[in-house]
Amino acid sequence: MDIQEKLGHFKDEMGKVIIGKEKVIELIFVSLLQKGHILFESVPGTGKTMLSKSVARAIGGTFTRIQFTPDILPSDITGLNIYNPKTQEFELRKGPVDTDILLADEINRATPRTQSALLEVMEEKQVTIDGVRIPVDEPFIVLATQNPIESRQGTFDLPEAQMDRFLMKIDLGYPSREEEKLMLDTHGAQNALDGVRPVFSKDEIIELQSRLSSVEVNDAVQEYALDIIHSSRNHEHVDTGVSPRGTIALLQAAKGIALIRGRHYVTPDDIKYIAPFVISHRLVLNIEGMALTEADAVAFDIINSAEVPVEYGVLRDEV
Amino acid sequence: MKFKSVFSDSKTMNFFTGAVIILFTLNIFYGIQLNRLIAVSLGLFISSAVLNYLYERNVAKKLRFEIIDKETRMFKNQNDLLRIRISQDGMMPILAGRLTISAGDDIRFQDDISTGVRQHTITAVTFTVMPKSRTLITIPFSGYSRGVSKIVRSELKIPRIFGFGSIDLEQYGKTDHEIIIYPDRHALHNREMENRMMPGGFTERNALFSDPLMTNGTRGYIPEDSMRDIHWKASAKTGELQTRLYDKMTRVSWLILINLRSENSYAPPGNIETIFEKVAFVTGKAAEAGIPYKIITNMVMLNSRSFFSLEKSTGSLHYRRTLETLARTDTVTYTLHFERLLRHVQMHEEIPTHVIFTGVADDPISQSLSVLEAKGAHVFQLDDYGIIPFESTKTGEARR
Repeated sequence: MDIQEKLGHFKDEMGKVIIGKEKVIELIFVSLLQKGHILFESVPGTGKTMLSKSVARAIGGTFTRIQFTPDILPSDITGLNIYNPKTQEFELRKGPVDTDILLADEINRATPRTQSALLEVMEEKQVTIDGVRIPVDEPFIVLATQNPIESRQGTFDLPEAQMDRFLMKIDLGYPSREEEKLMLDTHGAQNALDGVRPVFSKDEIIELQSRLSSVEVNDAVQEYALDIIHSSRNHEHVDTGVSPRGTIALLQAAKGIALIRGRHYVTPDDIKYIAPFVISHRLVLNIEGMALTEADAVAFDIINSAEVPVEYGVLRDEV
Repeated sequence: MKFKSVFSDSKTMNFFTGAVIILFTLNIFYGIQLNRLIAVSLGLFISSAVLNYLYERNVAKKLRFEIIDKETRMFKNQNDLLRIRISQDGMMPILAGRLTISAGDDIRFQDDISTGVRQHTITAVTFTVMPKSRTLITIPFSGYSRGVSKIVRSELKIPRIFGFGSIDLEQYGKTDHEIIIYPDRHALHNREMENRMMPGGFTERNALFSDPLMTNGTRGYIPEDSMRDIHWKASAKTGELQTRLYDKMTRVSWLILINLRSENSYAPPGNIETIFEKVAFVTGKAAEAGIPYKIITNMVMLNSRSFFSLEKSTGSLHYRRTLETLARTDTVTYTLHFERLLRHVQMHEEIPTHVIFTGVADDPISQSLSVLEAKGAHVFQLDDYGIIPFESTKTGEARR
C-alpha cells in the first residue's frame, strides 16, 4: 500500500467537502498515522464540524458525536451502570466514547470537570465505570472543535492535562478569496458529505501506523527537537513548557511528515514545519506572557531561536 | 507612512540657473562669444540642473515607508524597537537621507532630541537606500508612562545628489501604528482576594441553572424527569426510581467600577495611576483563576454616550484587553459623577457576585452600593490599603 497514494485519495475525498485546506488535510493524515487526537480551533463558520465529519467518513469505522453543553455530565461521555428493576441488577450502558472516531463538538462549552471525563480514554484508550475498566476499540481518535472567539460567556478553558493529550491543534482560519469563490459556486449543489467515501479500512490504518517505526531520526535532529522543547520550558513568557509527552508527540509527528514526503528519515525541516502545531497549545503562558503576546507567537519565537543542525551525516538508505 | 514634498529649492542652484539663462540669452540676442571651457562648464551645469530637477520630482514618487509592527504592547520601562522598512521602487537612490520622527511622550526614544518640546519624544535616523531596493531601520525606545503613543509627525530630508541642499518632505495623514503601554501591576498583599473573592465559597443568588455535578439529594421519579437525572444507586437501594436534585450553579464573577473623579472635583484623584496599577494586578489574578469580570469607568464616550467599559469575559485574551483598556483610559476627559455610574449598574447591568469599586465612597455613593449589596453582590473597595470589604451601613465619617 503506497502511503502517498492513500494520502492522494484522502485529499480527494476530503476535497469533496472542504475546499482548499490541503495543508490541514495533510496534518490530519499525519495525526491519523499515530492515532493522535486533534483539536480544531477556529472562529465560527469556518467548517470545523464539517471537516471533522468528513474525516470520520473518510476513515470509515464507527463515528459518534457529542455536542458539549454546560450541563453535560461525565457519564454522558463515558457511559454508566443503570439499574434494571426487573432483574434487580446493574447493566452497563456504554457512552459515546465506544467508537472509532469521536467528534467532541464545541468541547469548551462543557465544564472542566466534564471535559476531564475524556482524560483517561484519550490517553489510555479505556474508561473506568464504577471501578471496572472497559477498553475502547482501536483506533480511538478524538476530533474536537472549539471556538476561540472573544465572547467567552458560557465557555471554559480546557485544562492543561486535556490540552496535552491532543497531538495537534489546528487553526483552520479563513479561506482565501479564490477558495471562497469556489465554495460559493459549489455550495448547495448537493449534500457533499454524503459523497465522501471511506479511504481506509481499520486494518489499513493500523498497517500505516506501523510504518512510523521504520522512520529514522538522526541524533542531531533529535537534539534539535530537544532544544526546542527545553527552550519552551525556559522562555520568559512561559509558565509551563512542553511536557515529555509533547516531546514524543513532536518526534512522532515529524516522522509522519517525513513519511508522507516519501522519506524514511526526519530532517530538521520536518521538525520546524510540524512544531507550531504540536507545541503551541501545550504552552501555558505566565501573566506577563498573557499580557504581551499569544501562545502561537511564543511557539514561533521558540522554534526560530533554536539552532538548526546543518550536518546530518549519511543515512543508510541514501548510500 | 505617507509623505508630501515641501519644496525648498536650493538658493545657490537657483542663482546659478539664473546666471546660465542670462548668459544664453546674451549669446542668442547679442552674439556674445563664449570660450569653449565656459561653454562646456555651462553644458555640464545645465545637465546637472536637469538631473537635479528630475531627481527632485521623482525621488519620492515610489518611496515607501512601512512600520512593520502595527501594534506594540509593553509595560512601563520595557524596551522595544520601532522597525521601519524603507523601499525605493523608483530609479533614484537616496544617500544619507534623514528621517525625523515625533511620537507621544508615553514612550521615550533612546536617542531623544526633543529638548524643550512638550508631550513629544523626537529622534532622527540616517539611512541610505539604492534604486529598486529596500532597507530596514530600527529605532530603540522604552515605555515611559501608561497610555497609547502614536507617531504624530515625521519629516524626511533627502540630500540632492546633483545639486546643493536637500529635498524636504513631511508626513501627511495618520499612521495606524500604536504603542500601548500597560500600567504596571501593583501587588496587593491583603488576603481578601485569596479568602473571599475566589471561586469556591459563593453561590450566585440569581443563578438560573443547576449544577449537574452538585447533587444534594434525591426525590421520587416523576414521568417528566430526564433519564440522565436518575440516581441509579439510590434507585437500587430504595427499589424505586429516584431523581437527583442539584444545587444551583456556582460561579464567581466580578464587576470592577473605576471612579475617575476625585471626591470634590472633576479632576482625577491623585492616586489614579496607582489605582490603575492595582486594577491591573487584581485582574491578572482573576485571569489566572478563570474568573469572568467586567470593567466600567465613569468616563463617557462622547460618540456613543455610553460609559467606557470592557465587556465581561475571561482568559488571557481578556486580560490583554483589560490592560489595553486601562492604557486607553483617559483621566482628563469627560466624566460623569460616580453615583450616575452606580445608578446605571443598578438598572442595566447583571449583578455579579463581587463588585469592586475604586475611589472614595461618600454617603450617596454608599447608599447606591447598598442597593447592589441588597441584590446579592459582595461589595469591596480597592484603595491604598488594597481590597477591603465595604460596609455600606457605616457613615462616611466612620468609614474614613
